[in-house]
Amino acid sequence: MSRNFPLKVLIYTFIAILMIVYLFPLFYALNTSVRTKLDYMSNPSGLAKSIHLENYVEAFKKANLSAYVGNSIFYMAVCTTASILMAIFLAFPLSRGYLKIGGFILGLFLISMFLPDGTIPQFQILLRLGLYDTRLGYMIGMIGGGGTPLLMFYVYIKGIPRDFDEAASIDGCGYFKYMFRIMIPLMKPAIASMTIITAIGIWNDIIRAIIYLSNKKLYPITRGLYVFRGQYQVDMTQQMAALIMVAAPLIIMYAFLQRYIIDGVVAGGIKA
Amino acid sequence: MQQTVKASFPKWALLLGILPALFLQITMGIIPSITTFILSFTDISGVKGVPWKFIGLANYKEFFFQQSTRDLLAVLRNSLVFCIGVTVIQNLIALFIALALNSKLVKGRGFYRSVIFLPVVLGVLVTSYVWLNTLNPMEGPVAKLIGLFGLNSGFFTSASSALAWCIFTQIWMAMGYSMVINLAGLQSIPNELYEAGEIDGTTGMQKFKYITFPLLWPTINVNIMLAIIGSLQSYQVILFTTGGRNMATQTLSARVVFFAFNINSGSGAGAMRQGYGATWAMILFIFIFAATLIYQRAVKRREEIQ
Repeated sequence: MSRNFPLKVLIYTFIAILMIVYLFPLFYALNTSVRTKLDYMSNPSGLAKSIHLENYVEAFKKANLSAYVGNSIFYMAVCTTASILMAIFLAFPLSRGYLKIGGFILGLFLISMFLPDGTIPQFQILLRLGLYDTRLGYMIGMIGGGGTPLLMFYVYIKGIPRDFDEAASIDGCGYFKYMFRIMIPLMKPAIASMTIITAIGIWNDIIRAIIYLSNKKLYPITRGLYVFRGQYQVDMTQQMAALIMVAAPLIIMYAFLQRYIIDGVVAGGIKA
Repeated sequence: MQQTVKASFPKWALLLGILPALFLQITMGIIPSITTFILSFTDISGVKGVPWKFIGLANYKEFFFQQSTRDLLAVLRNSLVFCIGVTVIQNLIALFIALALNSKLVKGRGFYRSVIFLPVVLGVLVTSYVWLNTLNPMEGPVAKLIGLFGLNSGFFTSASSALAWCIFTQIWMAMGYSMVINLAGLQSIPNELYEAGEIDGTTGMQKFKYITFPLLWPTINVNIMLAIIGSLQSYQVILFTTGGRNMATQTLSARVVFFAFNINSGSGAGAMRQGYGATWAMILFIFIFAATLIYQRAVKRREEIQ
């Protein structure tokens, strides 16, 4: 018992309230998802009397998740790989100062935060190119070399000595070979962090999926969850089962990789 | 900006590596942003093959004079309330959380941090549906809880409280960002300063006032700027919780997608009017510009006084 005791009580009370506000809704979603519809309707805020997994089976079928999960994985893999590679090849010459127009190019990427939102013209461009309702059209706006990965790699590469570049070029090692053999392996921690953050962003996309896709065969998993609500509005138990299935991969990934995720966000916040 | 150094690799190879990212940034980023301004003077629709033309200031005229003034004022008021509500409350709580989770008095800090950050990973759709479920006005758990105190609320379905619950859900989702950035800021404050303060006999409150807060201020400032811009641009929580059933939760950014893509409404009134949507996007842009400018001015004036 010390003079810190009242302060400690205050802090722990504050944290306890936060934990309830953050964990209860998730627990309640899980609770809802394993109840029968009848049980739920009779007392929505009650605890599940017994665990029923039928909702999961039904929701899996109705939301067509088995088809959409493949799409989501495909979009995530393509967009993340392309974006991370672009950001690496963009950040390297800019960070090293190898190009006279490097400052200008960096400016082109930083300025977009201060320009009007371009969603509508982007839609017009893709529509007129015949890319509406195609995988490519959906993905193309999510691929890019800018944003947080660019800034994180820009800073990270500064910590890797230029001597490596010189040694490689003296040995006659080409640029692309050097990047893939030497630079990218040296950047592993930064790349890991940015890959996860980019991948989560793409997995969670729903707005582009609503705007660009009308063919059900192309839907990502989030769109399955979204359709669910419109169609089966009353059935909370099945909706929550679908929600848990969409969120579960994220939660599992988060449990293992949260250190990388949080590092990446810090890098993104410090840029501004 | 740093000086240009002699490249170890041929310039053409370096430029070739940059090209894909640069091409996408210009065609999918910068050109669309600027074109928003141009499209705001047209009657272009989101349907392919429909002819379109320049119509001068007609969209702006419609915005200011031809729509219901009550609706326009409601949208502007909602945008302002949403922005100020999210910015102020989120940053205040995030500051307290970061201070608590940076304190050595607390055990299990890593776990608490992970829990508060979790919604950032879950994303906006899952977050919105989780809260729709929890805030079910028909005997949901929160409805029951406030019922014990003789209160009741329609939550997302009630015109008077829906916006407040949207603000709450938005904060719940984005709090992790602000917290993590604050924690990084706190950890960059050198320990020697606190030790020096202890030798001089500072109390806990003085420590906060003279060491922690001034040194954390640049971080908080970044958080506030991000929250102002982010909250004005963000309509996703509103879209997925209230669905814009009435004007009670309509904001500028929600109206942009309502007119341009017709996804924020049960009725067909949006009709993919992308020219008019672009006009709303330009008004939103000016609104964001003004908000950040006013905030920066206020901060500067305060700093000058002190």
